[in-house]
Amino acid sequence: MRHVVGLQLPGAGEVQTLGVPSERLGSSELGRIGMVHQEIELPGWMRVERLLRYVASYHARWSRDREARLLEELEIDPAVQVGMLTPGNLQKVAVVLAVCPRPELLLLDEPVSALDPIVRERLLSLLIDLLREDGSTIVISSHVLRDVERVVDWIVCLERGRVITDVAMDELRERYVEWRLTSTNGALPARFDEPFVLRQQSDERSAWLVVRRAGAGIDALSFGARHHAVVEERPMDLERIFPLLLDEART
Amino acid sequence: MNALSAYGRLVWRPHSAVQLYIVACLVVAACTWIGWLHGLMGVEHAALALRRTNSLLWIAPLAMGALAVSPVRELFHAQFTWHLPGVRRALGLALALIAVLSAGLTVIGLSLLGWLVVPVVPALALALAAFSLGLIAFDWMHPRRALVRGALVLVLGLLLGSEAVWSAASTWPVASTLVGVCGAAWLLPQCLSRAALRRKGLIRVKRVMGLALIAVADLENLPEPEDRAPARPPRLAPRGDRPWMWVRAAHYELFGWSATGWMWRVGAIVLGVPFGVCAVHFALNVLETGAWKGAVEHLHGSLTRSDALAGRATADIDFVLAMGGALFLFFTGMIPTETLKPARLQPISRRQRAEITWRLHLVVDLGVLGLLALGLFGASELLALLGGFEGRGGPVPGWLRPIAAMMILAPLARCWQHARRGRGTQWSHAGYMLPLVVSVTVVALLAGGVSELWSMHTGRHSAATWAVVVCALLAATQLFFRAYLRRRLALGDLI
Repeated sequence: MRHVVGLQLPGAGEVQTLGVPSERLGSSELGRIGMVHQEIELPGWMRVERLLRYVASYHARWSRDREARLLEELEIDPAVQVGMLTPGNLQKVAVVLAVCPRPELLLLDEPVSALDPIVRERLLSLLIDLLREDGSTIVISSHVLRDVERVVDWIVCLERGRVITDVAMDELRERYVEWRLTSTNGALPARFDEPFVLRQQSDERSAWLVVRRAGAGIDALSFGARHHAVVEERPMDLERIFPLLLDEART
Repeated sequence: MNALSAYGRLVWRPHSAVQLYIVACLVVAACTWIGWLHGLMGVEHAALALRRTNSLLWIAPLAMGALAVSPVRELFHAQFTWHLPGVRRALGLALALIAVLSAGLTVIGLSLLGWLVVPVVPALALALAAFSLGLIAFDWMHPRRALVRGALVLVLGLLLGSEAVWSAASTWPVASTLVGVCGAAWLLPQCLSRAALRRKGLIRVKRVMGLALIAVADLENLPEPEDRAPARPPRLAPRGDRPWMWVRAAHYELFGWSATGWMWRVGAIVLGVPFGVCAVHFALNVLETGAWKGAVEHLHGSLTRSDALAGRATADIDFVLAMGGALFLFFTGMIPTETLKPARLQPISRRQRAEITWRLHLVVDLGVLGLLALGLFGASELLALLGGFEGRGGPVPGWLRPIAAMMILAPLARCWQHARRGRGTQWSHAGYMLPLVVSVTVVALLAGGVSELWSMHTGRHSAATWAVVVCALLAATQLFFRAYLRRRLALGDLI
């Protein structure tokens, strides 16, 4: 993400952000990008209010309405000194600073890692609302996949710095599903040998399968009919899909 | 307007008032000294006195530059600053305005006092260049760069202190104006470059001010104890056994695995101050007398305190040594008394904790002051070798006195600092800075006084008598410190 905003320069290759090579991003481009860094470094001696005014003085598109709304909804006291904020509140302030200039591109590096589940959900809902208002692009880097999968519509997975998946979230959800089989007539096979079955666990009467639905002819009904079983199809969440992506990338 | 409001928001805080207070004290001290110099030198040395006063023309803007950029630089390396559109332009404009203002005020002030020996326009240009040099000279993020730039400042300062440069500035005003303006135009953008913004890390302003007194040490990279993952100290002996192992444990908690790295860093601070001043002292004497050997002898006389040679310089060197020691005391005084992790990691009693802490402080004191003594002894011997003459010091070498005084006063200064700081209190910046200034000054004055008393009486008493007195005082203050620590840790809340 630092490469994207030009804070670090690539040793090889090129990063283009908003149509400009990242190492040449100027004031006009940087003003259109908001970012929340993973390691939040804000001046501890400033009060939140003063920090907001300081940052706002650089942004022509700073929204005071949005600032007030976010401060209220995220329950941030503007009179508190930044150095006295808890990590969670510090993260909230960083989000406010990144979002209030109405950026076209918002980069969030682990934006909710220090927040409790309730605030995480509230913050992410707020971000979705803002996304709708501005029509901006939000890039979220996170290890808390369960939270972010509700708000993202495109997934890029990285393994050791390499892109292993770059796909729409819906497509990913359709690609990997979970089937629960219950036998209607006798025992189920001890092992399912179909190539699209990635993982399995079974006993005589029921089975649990993780299936990769790529290509034609893979549907739950015909599979159930073949094995004399009722098939219940369930979607998988990102946290469970991610190991499958890693396995695929490694094989 | 935007530039000024942004800069104003960075500057407007109690800390700035303290900074201004320090600068004002320095300016008043410099003016007093210059006034004294004028009176002392009289008419026959008027040119020399005037030349000395013109050093204000670059010292004052340089200090203002360093002061003006410190709140900017503090935020410059913070990652969020990178995303502020136009931050370099806005802050650069604000700094340029301050440059013009401070250079103008300096030149006007000197001109009104009748101390200006250079025409106004080239003086203004040179002051602008000095301000810009101040902007880049003290970059705490990069100690090596700070060292190089510090050396550059020293060289330029010596150049600006020389007669030739000032007469050249008077003879060729247009050329010197051009040089000054070009220098300023080249230096100013250096501190606001994109590369400067790309650097990572935020320095807390109190650390910047703490470090503002020294430019050579990498104290910033001393690992914070809380940053380190809790781990069992190396080769920890069983509880209550072999206290030295516990001192090692405390050392590990404070400084990490490096056994001696901290000592070199702190030593660099302590040695840097006297040696920097000695270098200036030496160079000024060369410039004044034009004789290298005479200057070497003069400096050697200062260090060994040979009254026949030392003259006025002796007091300067003593004060500088005392300042170095006081700085050391301040920085080591910041080491928390509760050095070991809570009981779950190192289950020791409060009494043991006090004992370990006392021993650790003793080791630190001996280490750093030993380094200082070794450095000064080496310098003294080197100067004798360079000058080709025998050392003519008294029964006790001059450099040993302030060091011994420091060693005696160190525990008392620590007690005072602990009492000032309180435990677990979040200091405001103003509340932090004032004790810094006061403690350094008080300890320096005390050390200077003790050293002076000592030097007054060394003629009447033998070195052995003084050794006994010093040892007795050392034992007394160390025992007092140990008792203080025991009481403090017995009553304190260690959770």
